[in-house]
Amino acid sequence: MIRLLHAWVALWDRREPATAQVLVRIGVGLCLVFDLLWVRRHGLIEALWAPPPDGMAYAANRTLWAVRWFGASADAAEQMWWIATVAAAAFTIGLATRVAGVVYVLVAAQLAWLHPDGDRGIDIALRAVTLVMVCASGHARWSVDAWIRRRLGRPFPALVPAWPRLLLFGQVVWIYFSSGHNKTMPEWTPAGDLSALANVLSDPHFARYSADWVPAVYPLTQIATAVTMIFEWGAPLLFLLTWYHATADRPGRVRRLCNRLHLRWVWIATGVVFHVGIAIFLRLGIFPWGMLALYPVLLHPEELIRAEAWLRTRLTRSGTAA
Amino acid sequence: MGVWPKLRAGLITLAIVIALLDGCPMPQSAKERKVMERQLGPTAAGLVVDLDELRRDLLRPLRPAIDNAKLYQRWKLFAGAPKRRFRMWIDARAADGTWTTVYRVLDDDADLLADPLGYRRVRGAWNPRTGDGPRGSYRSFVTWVAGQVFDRDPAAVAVRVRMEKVLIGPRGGFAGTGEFVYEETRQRQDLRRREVRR
Repeated sequence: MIRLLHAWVALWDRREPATAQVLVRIGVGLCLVFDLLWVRRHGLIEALWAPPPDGMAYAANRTLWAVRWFGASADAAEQMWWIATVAAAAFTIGLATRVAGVVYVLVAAQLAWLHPDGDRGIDIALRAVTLVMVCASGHARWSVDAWIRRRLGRPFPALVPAWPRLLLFGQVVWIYFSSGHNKTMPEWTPAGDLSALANVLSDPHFARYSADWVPAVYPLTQIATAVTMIFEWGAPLLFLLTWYHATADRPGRVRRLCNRLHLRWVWIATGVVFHVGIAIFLRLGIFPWGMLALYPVLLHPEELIRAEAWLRTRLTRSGTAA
Repeated sequence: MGVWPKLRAGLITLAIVIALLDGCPMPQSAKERKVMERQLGPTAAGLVVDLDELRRDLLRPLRPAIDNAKLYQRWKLFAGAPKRRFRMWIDARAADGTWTTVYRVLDDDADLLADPLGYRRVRGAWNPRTGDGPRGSYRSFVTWVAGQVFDRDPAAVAVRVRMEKVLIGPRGGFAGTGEFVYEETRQRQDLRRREVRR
């Protein structure tokens, strides 16, 4: 038991290069900024966050600090949009990253309380991720903070605490697993003919295209429904598969088989295909991109270092050739 | 090993436990509880309800902090995917009483405001729950969208928003039933009067 506790403490005390955390900061930040700019481009700030009759913020009341501070009006919605957008942009470029993250989460939560129906699952997920990132070292590279620290002669260390990445890894796994065990309707099972994805793709409120093509590929949608359920229910196995991959030199038949079949990569690739498919066929806004922005946490730091080195070599080569 | 790594590991463990408690798949609505009772029987269902009470009690002191960030850990992406769905229609009425459809989901001939209406946060206001009717912001949505239509169509005197029940076929695709629900109408004069009062 003591040994287990020591191992648990040591797990959260690990250090690693900041690459994964940096990529998550930039990816998540870009999604947030894009989403807020989209709202502005289509003139929806007042519509979403001003109280009726100008907008849909039917839940605006004085229990919300945003209403006590800014009031409940179109102007207040505009001010809060600006604060959220500036904070999200600062978070993305890594300028006062931690403060920016906290400000974004608090203001975004108030916007969500003003108009609860406009607050979707991905907004909640990205708020949770941003909160973890506030404690992380996602600003240790490719950020204004890192640049300032270098200029001051106090650069960030090359290795940073790994626990935020590990915690986000757990968050990603939980999002999928929770989605899986909340799918209790028969359409997701053989009892409902595995018709869930065909139904979703045919739902006019979510489908990107007319549903005329769906019956022609119905068997494929059934397979995709089954794969989705296996993928989501199997998400916790990713812990084990990642462990097997990291300890490939240890003995064990199951470990060897999982590594030989590249099951970890199969799971990750399935997730990528799942989200790209959603982006192509459904209108769910930033949901697929927000989730994919979290995928760097699923990779080993060395894999990201190798990928970065490969990319740099390619860029240098193409630069020399040019 | 110093104190900080142990303390940090403890805090992280606490955070994980809180998240798991919050994300525990307990039945939330009365409808879900009824289904659970049917499937598990009254004794087991009673035990689950007691456990849920305990879970809520444990989370209660943390609720203000969780609410400040409006977080939860119970994820539902298309948890239900039934065949009975809806299709929103927005119609404008001219002074002579004729109705014209200005927007209908996935209709290229009636696509006024298609981009903003398709945006996920706006859809959250108008897309009805499968079995529980329109959402809290539906009426405010209708007022807002009516104002948008009046701004763009000076001839419109009234705007009507309604949901057509559609049925998804056994192999996908959908067909309208011609039956409409959740109909809300706004008159231009009412919106103007409200504008003047403000």
